[in-house]
Amino acid sequence: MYKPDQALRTIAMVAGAAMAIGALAVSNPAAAASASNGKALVESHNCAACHGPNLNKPVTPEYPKLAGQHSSYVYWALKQYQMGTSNPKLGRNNAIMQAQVQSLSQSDMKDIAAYIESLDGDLVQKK
Amino acid sequence: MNSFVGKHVVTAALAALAGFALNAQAADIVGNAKAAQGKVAMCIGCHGIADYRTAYPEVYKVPMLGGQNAQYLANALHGYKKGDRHFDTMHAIASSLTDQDIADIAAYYAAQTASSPNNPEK
Repeated sequence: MYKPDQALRTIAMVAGAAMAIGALAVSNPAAAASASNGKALVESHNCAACHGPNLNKPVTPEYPKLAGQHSSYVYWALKQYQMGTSNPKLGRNNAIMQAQVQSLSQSDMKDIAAYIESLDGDLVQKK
Repeated sequence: MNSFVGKHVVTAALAALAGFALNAQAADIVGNAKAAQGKVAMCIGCHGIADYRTAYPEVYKVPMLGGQNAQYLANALHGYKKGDRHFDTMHAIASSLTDQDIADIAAYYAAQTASSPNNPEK
């Protein structure tokens, strides 16, 4: 009943799968997001002109505070603005933000999101 | 007497203008954070769980709402209700809210700070 060959093959398959998953994790750009590049992009795109000092005091209450917001949400929001009206099912439609994000690459957006999450601000998660 | 009346007319006009500017969507609706305590059960199911993530159409942590500007939150809920912002769950929930509910919920989250207690009703 005991089949050493089969057991070996199973071990090899499991090891192979584990390595593949590990490689995926390493190649995930989120892990490599650079908050310092994000800071440079936030400054060059003048985000504080609307979102305020430290991205925590927007100039009008219609604009969101960003400091400390989850980076994965900020990244998704930036991607949605980039889709804009060209994707009526997922895009976010805002003329200012659409113009702001047009030239950003995926990794730029991840860097900006990482920088925003690193900032201390008013945002809290409460029930 | 005249200057007394005049001052009050000016004050009233300024207050009306300020109210209109702050809340162009519904000038006569004022959010009541306390009234929202019983209205946020559906919000808490996702936004009240630390690090809660949604999986479609992309895996991301749902946004933190506490301390956010009330006007931004109200606009977001109106956007989801109308279909200008896209997320099926938020569309379904926002569609069940009245303008007053939206104003109350926006005021509720805007008022939260790091020292706010969690909702005693939830």
